[in-house]
Amino acid sequence: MPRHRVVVTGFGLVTPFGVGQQVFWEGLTQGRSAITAIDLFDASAFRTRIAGACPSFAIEHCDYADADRTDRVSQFALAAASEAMRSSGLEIEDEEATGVILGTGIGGITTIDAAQKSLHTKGPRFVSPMTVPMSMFNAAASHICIRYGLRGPCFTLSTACSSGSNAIGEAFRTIQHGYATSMLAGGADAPLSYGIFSGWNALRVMSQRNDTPATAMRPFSRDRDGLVLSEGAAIVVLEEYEHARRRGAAIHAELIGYGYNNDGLHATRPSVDGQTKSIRRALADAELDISAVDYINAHGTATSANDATETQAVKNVFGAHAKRLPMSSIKSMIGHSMGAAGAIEFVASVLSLREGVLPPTINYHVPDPDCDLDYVANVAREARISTVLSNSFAFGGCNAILALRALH
Amino acid sequence: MEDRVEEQLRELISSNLKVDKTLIRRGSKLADWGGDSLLFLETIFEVENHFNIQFPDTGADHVSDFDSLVALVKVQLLKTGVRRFNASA
Repeated sequence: MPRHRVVVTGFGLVTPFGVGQQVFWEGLTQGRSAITAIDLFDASAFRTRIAGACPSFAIEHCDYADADRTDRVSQFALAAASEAMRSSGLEIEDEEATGVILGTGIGGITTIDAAQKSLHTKGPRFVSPMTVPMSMFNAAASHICIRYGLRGPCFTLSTACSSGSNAIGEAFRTIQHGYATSMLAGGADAPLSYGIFSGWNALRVMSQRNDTPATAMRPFSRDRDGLVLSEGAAIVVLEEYEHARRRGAAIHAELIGYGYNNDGLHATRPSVDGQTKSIRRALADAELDISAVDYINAHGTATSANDATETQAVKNVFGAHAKRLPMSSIKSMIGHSMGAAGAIEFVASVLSLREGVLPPTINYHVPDPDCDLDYVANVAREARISTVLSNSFAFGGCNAILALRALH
Repeated sequence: MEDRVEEQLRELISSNLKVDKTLIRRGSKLADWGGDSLLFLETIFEVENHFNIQFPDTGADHVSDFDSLVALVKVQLLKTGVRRFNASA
């Protein structure tokens, strides 16, 4: 079956740097950290008391009359969608041919937490009737469809930290196979809620450098002590190539491959074998030779297991080319936003292609024999690149890789 | 007391349904305020919380206008008052 080509014509973000693509790219290329002490709730009893929150976010950014009846995660998604729509200049001519696919790790957890609190402290009749419509995982995608009158394919998926990448990959397939001509796709998560944060705290995978939040998250550095949880959203406008060309849209990159699989081994421990195979799937899907890849936007979570596993998987796939292949983790600056991360990193990859700049892995100071690649340490680098991979590896063994290239 | 219940209801409905307060008056129907069943449910929930009362399970089903809502709130306020009185006696 012939496949349609798929291009990126717009994007929008909410990140710990703030709302929008400009503050995001400035922050990344300046190598700044957006990690701070938690003030969204009382974190004093926790082992980890830092996070990547989005403090400058306001409900007005949603550009949606009913935004005050949505969870924080939907508000992030609506704001990202608003910027994505504006930046793409897309006018919805065929509403049946435009849809939304979003990924989220934990959906409307702030709403669930509030309902649980009311239930246990006041009683069953004090749970808000908005609990279900606000917390359902597909709320964000549905509100975007309502806001822009979209009536094409729409669903929400959840593959933990790979959710955003899987969503963009599924939207890519939807256009490739002719089920839509344009799609809004991406990820959103707002996990900085007292209840679920306590679960993360108990899991002991978060950095405990509470006194130095800006230098807490140190991917690939030997002194790394875990991730920093964050929140946000990124949504891209994907469009069938001819459709974009006919309307004279600015084309930022072409999405050329998508590989995803499961380790089939363990709930939290990553697998070199599973990750290796997911990268190979993306390369095969894109019909790319390993030598064609110029840069990898890493998953890079700064956990002991992830960074060594990811490094080994990249070495397995790329062999000698791995040593010449820069790979950086923007999580070092904005933390790990779970289901949003893959989509935010996809946007960073698009910007790297367009601007010819690789964002750095900051806080990298101590080499690790198990992490011996070029991580673009501490300072952004100018580089003429034409092909990029964006890696996402998730709890539950879900891996998702996206391949993109500059449009020639 | 009567005026205060009405005024507080007017405030709650106006902010929840995003309608002008002048549209919320004696004789006006719920349908006049726009909104849908979900919004109405949410408003009932806010009203219950605000006055610290609980409507009977099917009580709110019969509310179709501002007058019947005011009446329902007052009945429940009275019942709550009686219960509290009995409990403290």
